[in-house]
Amino acid sequence: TFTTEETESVTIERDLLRHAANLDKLISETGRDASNNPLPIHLPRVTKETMDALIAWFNEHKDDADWVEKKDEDNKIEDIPDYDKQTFDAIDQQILYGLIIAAELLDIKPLFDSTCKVVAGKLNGMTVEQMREYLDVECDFTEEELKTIREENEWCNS
Amino acid sequence: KEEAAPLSVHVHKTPLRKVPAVSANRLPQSILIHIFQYLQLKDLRSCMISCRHWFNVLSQEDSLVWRSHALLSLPQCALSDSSLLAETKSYKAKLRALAHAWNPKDSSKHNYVRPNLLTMHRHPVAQSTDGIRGKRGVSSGVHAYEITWEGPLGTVAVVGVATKHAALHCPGYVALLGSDDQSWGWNLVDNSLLHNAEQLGVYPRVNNPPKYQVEERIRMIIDCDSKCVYFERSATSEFLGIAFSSLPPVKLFPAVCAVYGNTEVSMVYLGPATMG
Repeated sequence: TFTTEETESVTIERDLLRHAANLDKLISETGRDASNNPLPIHLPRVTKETMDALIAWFNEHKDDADWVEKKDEDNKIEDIPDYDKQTFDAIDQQILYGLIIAAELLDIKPLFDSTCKVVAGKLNGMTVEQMREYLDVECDFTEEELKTIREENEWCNS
Repeated sequence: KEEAAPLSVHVHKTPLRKVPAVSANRLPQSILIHIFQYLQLKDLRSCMISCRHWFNVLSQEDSLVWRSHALLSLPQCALSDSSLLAETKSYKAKLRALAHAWNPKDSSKHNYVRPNLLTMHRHPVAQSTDGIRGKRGVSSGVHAYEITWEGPLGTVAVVGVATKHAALHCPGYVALLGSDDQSWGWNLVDNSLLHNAEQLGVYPRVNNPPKYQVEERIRMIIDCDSKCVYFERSATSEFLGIAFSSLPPVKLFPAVCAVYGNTEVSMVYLGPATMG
């Protein structure tokens, strides 16, 4: 059983959750109630929409092979399962971030991998102005600071 | 062993509170580094400039981001050489050194750059003086380079700076670097300073300056703001005095020229420096 920030509680079949490596640890940490049922696991910063997307992801991937950590040079940004690519490219950014956070919390490595790659894919090739628009922030550096950072990192452009 | 919980959804009608919007710029460092590791260096630079939080995350120079880029770009032989990159303390610094390294495309054809990407090697070609420039020139700020002459010096072994126009090859054995107004050189063999084909005196400016020992590490500092070049002995950080002053406000590249067959020179960019 999971509760989210908006106090919905959702009960999920255990074997859907097999990619969540942290689960046993979380369950033992949250303990049990008086009748020896496991207490609900609270997921901070996760909305209902994120929860729905998460459950959909679990359903899609429940029969996947166990996650194998790839070496850096083999782990390419394009390596995303089709379902993940199509779904995550289209969903709301808030839900995408929610999924990343949930994936980190529950240690769901394949989901964490896909979602991070999708965000990286969006940032790929953006100008600074485009990045700030994507982040919805104003520049929070002084002119002086900007100049220094630009110059000291000019070599990155080669 | 846990039993499978029933598949049912239990929904409360009244939400306690709305989750505040998550913005990518407030994602925690632990998540951001996993996103940044997939970006190219030029995009990482843009990320650093976008907002302070991302800049702070990317200022951790040994994080997963810089480590994975370094491991992909730097040859194993360079990374595992315990002394070559000793002065570049972080993965980011190592990447930066690579960006400033000897340029195999801006060299006499008689030189090549070794697989470690940081050491140049001169072929044993008779009657030829051969030079090479670093990949990046500088025209503002203060920049330090660690240079190690690793092979025999021969009669001419000049370390210094050059504009992009300076010649990198000529027949015979001459002090090519410093032979015109496009380069400035310190010949380690006789300790003479050269520019515009003139000998400007002996350096360091003491009586009987010590001879350069092969494999000794020296630091060359190009100070574009004060328009001068000076050297230090790396081992002791001993300042050897200003070698060249009144440099023109143009892009200057680290450069060497050599005449001895199979001699080698390593150059590792150390980054911006403060005047010592």
